[in-house]
Amino acid sequence: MILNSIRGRLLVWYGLILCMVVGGFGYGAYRLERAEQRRDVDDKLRNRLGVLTFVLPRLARQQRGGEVDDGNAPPPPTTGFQLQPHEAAQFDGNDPHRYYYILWRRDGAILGKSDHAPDSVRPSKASSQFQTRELGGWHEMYFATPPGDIVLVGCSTEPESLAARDTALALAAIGGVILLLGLAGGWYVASRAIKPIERISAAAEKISEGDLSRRIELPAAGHELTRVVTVLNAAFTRLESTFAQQRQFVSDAAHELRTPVSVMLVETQGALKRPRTAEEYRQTVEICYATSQRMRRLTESLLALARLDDGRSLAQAEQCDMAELAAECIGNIRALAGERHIMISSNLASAPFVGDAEAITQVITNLLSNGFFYNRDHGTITLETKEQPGVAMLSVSDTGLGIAPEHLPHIFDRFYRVDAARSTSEGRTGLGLAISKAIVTAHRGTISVESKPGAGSTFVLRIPTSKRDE
Amino acid sequence: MKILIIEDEPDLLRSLQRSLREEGYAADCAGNGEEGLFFATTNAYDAIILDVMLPKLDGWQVLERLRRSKATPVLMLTARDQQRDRVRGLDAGADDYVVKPFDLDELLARLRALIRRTSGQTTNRLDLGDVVVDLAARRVLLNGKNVALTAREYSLVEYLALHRGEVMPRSALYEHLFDENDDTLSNILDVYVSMIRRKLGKDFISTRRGHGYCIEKPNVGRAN
Repeated sequence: MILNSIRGRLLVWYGLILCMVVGGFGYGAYRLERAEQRRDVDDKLRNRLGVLTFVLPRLARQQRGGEVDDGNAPPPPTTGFQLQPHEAAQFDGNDPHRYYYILWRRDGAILGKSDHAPDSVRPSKASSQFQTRELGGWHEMYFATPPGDIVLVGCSTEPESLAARDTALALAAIGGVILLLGLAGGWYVASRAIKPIERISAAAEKISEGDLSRRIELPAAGHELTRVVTVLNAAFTRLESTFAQQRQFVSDAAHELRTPVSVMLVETQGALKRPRTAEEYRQTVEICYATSQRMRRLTESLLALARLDDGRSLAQAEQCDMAELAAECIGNIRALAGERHIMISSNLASAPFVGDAEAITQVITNLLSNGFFYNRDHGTITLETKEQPGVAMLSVSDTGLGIAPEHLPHIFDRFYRVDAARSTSEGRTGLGLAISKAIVTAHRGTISVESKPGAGSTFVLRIPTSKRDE
Repeated sequence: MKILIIEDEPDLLRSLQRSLREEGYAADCAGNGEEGLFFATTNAYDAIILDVMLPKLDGWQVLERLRRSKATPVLMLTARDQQRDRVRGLDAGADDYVVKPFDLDELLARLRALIRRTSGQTTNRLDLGDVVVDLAARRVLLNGKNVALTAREYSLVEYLALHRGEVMPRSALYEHLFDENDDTLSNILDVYVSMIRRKLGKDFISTRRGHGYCIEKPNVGRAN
């Protein structure tokens, strides 16, 4: 439907407006013409009336031998009325206007009349003023002499009508041509204006179907479409980086799984190569068990991360206190810490916030276990919780190995391991901090780290006090 | 044959070592790049299985430094299978490249191929007259019939057969056939040699007194 296209709609509106303008103009011209005609006709009629004005007194003088007609003299006779030739010429029936005259005596009888005059009714309210009237296709002008005789001249308006019709047709034709030209021009201009949209659509289609690294060319600055192109390009950039991130993640995950799978494969293949003792089989099975557990932990962490990426994993937010959660985590790790004589010192001030208690507990546990794992024997882990403006703050410090500056920016990356040697021992997946960061981000909080190699590290967690829905 | 395995994943390392030993190889282990490089440059190995992702010194660096002084065949083991990593490995001096997770039998076959290649051996059969050594199956045939040899005995036969005609000093034999697992009692080698002679014939292995042992090339007079 033409109305669905921008061009179509533009054209319809433009066409309507053009129609109105051209039509209005044409109509105005027509009316002017008509008025002109009317004036012209009136002038001609007035001239003829003027001519007749002298006829009546002359006639009266003829009848009475030259006396001036006043109200008391008898009316002129109805017969014997004749015009002089030059006067009659004004009322030639062959002229296209067919000028005619009609004279009424004051008593209503017709004094004189053109042969071709139509049967016009005697005007009732004639006065000494020239008045006009329309009767059928005739235009008439009349007046009354003081005694009451009425003089009327009229003509056919047929020539004028014909002329007017011709004018109207001509105007219509011209108007039509203008309209068509205008529409054609408008269509062309609209098409030119639409072209960039088509170009942009084509480019966007190609990019979204194929190569996400390309971008749409920006039109000149100030162009109305610059904004939509900018937005589209930004969306493509986001898409590209999301896909790249996902690819990287999947590749990393597969990579991580390769090692445990290799272990199981070599172990089981080796075991099956020749008859083994029950004890040997048992060992093999134990290795497979431990490795399977490792893979389970890895897949669980990966799924958790995937869900967090999706943004839908947090349970409904509840009122929590950082101090409470921290105290609980400390309790869980105390026994383990004691084995290596690591002291846990804490300074827990109430720090309320709104969030997912279980998820934040996971984060605190992760930080604590890192603090424990990378610590030296007889070292210390220090926990502090505090309320700060707008946030609940938790910090975990350890007296451990510390992290070198070149590793600090990457420490929250997935699968990033500072020391490859510790990669697979104790079931560490390399995802702990990545998951923690994802949880914290989902809470619209921040997590940061400071570290000095050889001295220790401090992780700081800040969660907004209230959950603001944006 | 003695193999060095450089791999940081302890379970994998243990499994590989056990499998290799059961195949009759002597196998040493290193858990990180530094240790691995040290062993590789200090001892003589017939092949090295090298993992790429290693702590302390990664596989590439170990390979690069090793190649400055030794041409030991290296089979790289890795979880990275991008094509450019394969190319990089082979260009850096690795002789073969296996991606984890791998099939154990395939690894062993590739190892055999590596060793065969460096010995200038083209087939898997070593024809020594009445005795035939099947390198693939790791067994020895006497007049077409299989002879039961222990893994160590087979290793010794294989090694001497691959270096046929060369006199191998005892020290070399110790180096190539025994790993940290074994007690190196100095006469254990002689015990193996006598066992082999009993099974395959008195003259199968020649003794060159003061020099070492050897399996003679054909048509050479038997030395005493």
